[in-house]
Amino acid sequence: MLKKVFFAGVIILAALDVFVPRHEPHFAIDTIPVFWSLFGLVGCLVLGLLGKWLLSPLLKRDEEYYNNE
Amino acid sequence: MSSTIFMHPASIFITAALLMPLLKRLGLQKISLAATPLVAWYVLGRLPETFGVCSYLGMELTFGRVDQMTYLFLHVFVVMALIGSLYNLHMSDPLEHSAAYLYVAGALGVTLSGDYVSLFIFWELMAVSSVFLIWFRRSRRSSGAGFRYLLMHTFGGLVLLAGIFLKYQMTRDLSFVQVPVTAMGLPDYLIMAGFMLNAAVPPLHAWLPDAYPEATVGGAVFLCAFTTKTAVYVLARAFPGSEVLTVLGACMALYGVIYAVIENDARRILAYHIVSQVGYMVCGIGIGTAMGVNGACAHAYAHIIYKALLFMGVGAVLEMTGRSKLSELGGLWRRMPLALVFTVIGGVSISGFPLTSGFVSKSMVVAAAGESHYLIIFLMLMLASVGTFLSVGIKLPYCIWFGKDSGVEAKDPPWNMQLAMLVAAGMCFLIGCYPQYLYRLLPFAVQYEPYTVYHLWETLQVLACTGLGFYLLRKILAPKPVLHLDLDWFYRKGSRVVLWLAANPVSRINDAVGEVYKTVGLRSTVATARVLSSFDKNGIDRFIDGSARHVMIVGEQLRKVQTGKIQHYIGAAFIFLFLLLIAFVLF
Repeated sequence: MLKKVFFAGVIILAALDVFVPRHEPHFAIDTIPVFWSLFGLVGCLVLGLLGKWLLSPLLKRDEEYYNNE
Repeated sequence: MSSTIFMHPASIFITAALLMPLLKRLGLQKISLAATPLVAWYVLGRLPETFGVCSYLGMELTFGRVDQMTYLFLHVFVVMALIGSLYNLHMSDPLEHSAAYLYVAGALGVTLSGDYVSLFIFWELMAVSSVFLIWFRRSRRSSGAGFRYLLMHTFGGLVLLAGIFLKYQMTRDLSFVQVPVTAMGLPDYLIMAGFMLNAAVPPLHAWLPDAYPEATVGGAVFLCAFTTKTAVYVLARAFPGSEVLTVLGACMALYGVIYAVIENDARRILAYHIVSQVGYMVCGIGIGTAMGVNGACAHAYAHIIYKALLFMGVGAVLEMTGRSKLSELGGLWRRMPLALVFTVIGGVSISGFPLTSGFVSKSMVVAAAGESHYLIIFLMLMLASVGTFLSVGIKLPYCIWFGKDSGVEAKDPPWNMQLAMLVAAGMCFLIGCYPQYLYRLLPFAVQYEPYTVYHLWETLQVLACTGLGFYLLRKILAPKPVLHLDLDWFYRKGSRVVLWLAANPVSRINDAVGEVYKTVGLRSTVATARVLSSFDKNGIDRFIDGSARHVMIVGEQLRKVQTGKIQHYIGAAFIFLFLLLIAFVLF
């Protein structure tokens, strides 16, 4: 139930973006409809996957790494 | 001078800090903890524009210089001291309170300083007193982390001092004022580097996520507020408009967020978020327009409150369960519901939800980047705010209070901790719902309206879709009990290089020197010994033997003069004493 309300909310927010007025946009991206929804989703996936699939495997060590001295 | 020095808000905290053990013995510790920030608050509204001016070693020192920007930081520091004192009210150790108050005094002193000398004094007071907030955790890890923290801050202090010396040598002027961007020289860059270390600007940031998670529960609440924000203040005061700050600020906003996404310890996640959020402020200072500097100051104010709230919420969990790692926590919502509510309020504030403080402060910096047409910077800051909501807004509360039930026994923290969190949470909403409260404190007139339809819509879309992203990634993002390397590796493992150098090349050189000594040195020693022994035989022995022979002769004579008559003995004794005296005088 909660999940459905959430998904509905995401879709409604994105859909109504077409009608939101743009006051003096600074960049071209401000005029693209649904840009910030896509930005949020893609940004979240990029950060999550970059961190967990690329950085974490490279940088992770045992928790006692600095203590075994 | 003597009348105005007691007006200095730092002196109130220093006095309270020094008297704390005595107040504890008198049973007044709790009252004084609540009263000290209130007294400082009272004084704050009555500060003259300049005070505490004195002359020392031919330099003019200004301990008090108050303008709009100073006042904003003093304001939030005193509010924070009150919240932190409330949170720590139940702790009995007076020395921990003393350390916290000296630290607050340092921050207030730096903020009020009108010249680099008094600034440096308080700067070092801050470093030295804050390390005790780490050491009082009294664990092996905290003691190591404290030493590394102290060493890094000593290094930063020395760089700052070098800058100050060079500046004095070149200009004979140590007043702490804005440096025009076109007139930056080596001394200014050194001073800026010293400031940057305290602001945790990469690559000088690693001390922060290393030390803060090892601090005491209450200590971390103080630490997260003062060091980085005084650094933001001094950067905003001296170097607004430096392009290097714009770029580094945007980079650090993202850097902190990426680490926060993969970290496991709740307080380390929050520590990386300090790096990230201070990045917004540094970026705003770098942009340097009225909007940028206003945004940096506003964000510093809002950040101190909500970050303290987050550290208090997670600290309450640590205090009640003894755990702070996400992988060891979960399912606490039934047992610590109030801590959950307060932490989530902190989480939505840092993420910039409408009606919370982050929404009206962070957006000023982002808007400043937009106004100045820095598209890349603008997108980096927006991406950082996606990561902020992902890790602190959703992941952290989810992993502690929901997720897999860890079965840890816990209950909500004592009343004073709850009250402190309530005050901070109330302020997050106050600033969010009534931004004029914050905007009228800002150094420049504000021409910014956060509640526009587009801004609301943009924010809600970003946040909602970040939530969607978390839903998709929830399995991948599950916390793992591992450690992630950061730049502190260089000096933590670097100490091993020093040890290796000591064990191998240095000890080999030592051996070689020993060998040389054996062949060359021993021979000369033997020769010297021979000379000495002949001197011994011919010089000293002859003299000793001679004196022995003399003693024998004298004994013989003495035997002869032993007449048994007391007056002879007395007379002889007098003559002997007389001769002894002469001997002493002559030789």
